[in-house]
Amino acid sequence: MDERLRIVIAKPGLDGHDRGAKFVARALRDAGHEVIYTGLRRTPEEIVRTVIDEDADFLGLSSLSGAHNFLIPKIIDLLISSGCGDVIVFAGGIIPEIDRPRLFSKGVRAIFGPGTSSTNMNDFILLTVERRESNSPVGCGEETDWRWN
Amino acid sequence: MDIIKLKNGDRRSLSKTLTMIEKGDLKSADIKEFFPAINEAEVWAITGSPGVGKSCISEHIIDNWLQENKKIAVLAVDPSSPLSGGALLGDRIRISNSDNSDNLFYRSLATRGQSGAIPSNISDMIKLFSALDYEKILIETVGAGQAEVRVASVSKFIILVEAPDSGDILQAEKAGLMELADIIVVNKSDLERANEKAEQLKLALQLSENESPNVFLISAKEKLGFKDLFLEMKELEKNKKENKSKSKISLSFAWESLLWNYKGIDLILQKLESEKITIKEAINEIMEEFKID
Repeated sequence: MDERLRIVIAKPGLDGHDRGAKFVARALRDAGHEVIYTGLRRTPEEIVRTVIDEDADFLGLSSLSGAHNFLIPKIIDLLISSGCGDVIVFAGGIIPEIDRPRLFSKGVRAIFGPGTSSTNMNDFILLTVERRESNSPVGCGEETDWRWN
Repeated sequence: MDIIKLKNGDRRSLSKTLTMIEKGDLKSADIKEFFPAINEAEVWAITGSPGVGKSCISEHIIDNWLQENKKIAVLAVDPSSPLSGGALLGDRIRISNSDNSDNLFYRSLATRGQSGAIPSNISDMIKLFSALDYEKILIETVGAGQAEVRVASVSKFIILVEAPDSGDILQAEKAGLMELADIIVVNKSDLERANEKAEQLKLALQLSENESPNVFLISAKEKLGFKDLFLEMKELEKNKKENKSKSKISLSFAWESLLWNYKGIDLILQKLESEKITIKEAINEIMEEFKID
């Protein structure tokens, strides 16, 4: 890939654990991308503003606090209403199987739980970029059932 | 580029335009074409070694400007990895309470393999922000060493941040950024030896022949000493004193960028590569083009 991707890794809500987010940020950097890390306890509004200002291609949301069912859909709604429906959203952390279908249908394209390898994540990124290049829908606001896992 | 949206203050258009500039697809000449009258923003740079507290100090400066209702752009630069080309851009972490204002646009930049603590097309970005009536621009450099003086060529004012125990005082007496700073700040005044550091710096500066910058002792963590710093910043914006070494650097970088943007440069490089001409002949050819005797 000759083009560098810009990826925002964010920690929404009252969640003080970011070892996973930092690991992901590091792995994506080592894969050659420019990763912007927001730091802890960000509001959905702050996260969407960061995505806009940084012209991010991807947004990765890390949640270990259990508030994912509320925060992630809210962030996606805000992204879409700000004209950022083309941004590709993925999530990670502790997200129970039972909650996943709803998040996928909301526009999350991949959910990475504990034990995910960085190769798996990078493959997801490459595949989504291929989809984008062939004009297949993949952004969080684009109509598709496609998802990574 | 959607010029109407851009002119109407649409953040995403601005952000996308910055990306174009970053990739080199848009130059300041193009910007001038779209915006005939451009006000000059006050461009401040904050620089210093890694870990001295540049981002934390930036947050207080931004807060202060926001309280004055200024329109602010921040360009925060972090290094790209020489191995992967990727970068971890983390200056945003420190900017917690000022991230919500419509008057603040905050963009992180990676150096993308260029030396000199800031990317070379940052001056085009400054031009764009100025065209969109941003009043203050703050450039936060990567943790810069003594030699990384390119920042002087794009910013009007430089704040150099030092911290206690960041090398003995001989470091300060060496040439470099120290000669170019408009303000020197010793951060972490809550730590021991900060006062000592400030006194040493003042002494070293007294020995210099040039007019020397004022030294301020602050603590970004405890928010101490900022009142005097802000007053000094205001004072400088009113009466900026040009200094000779800074003009020298601005000139030499401006010259460099003129050279690399010169249309015939590829041809000259080709001739040099195939040893058709010598360096001296190349210089003569360029001088003739720029009409220099």
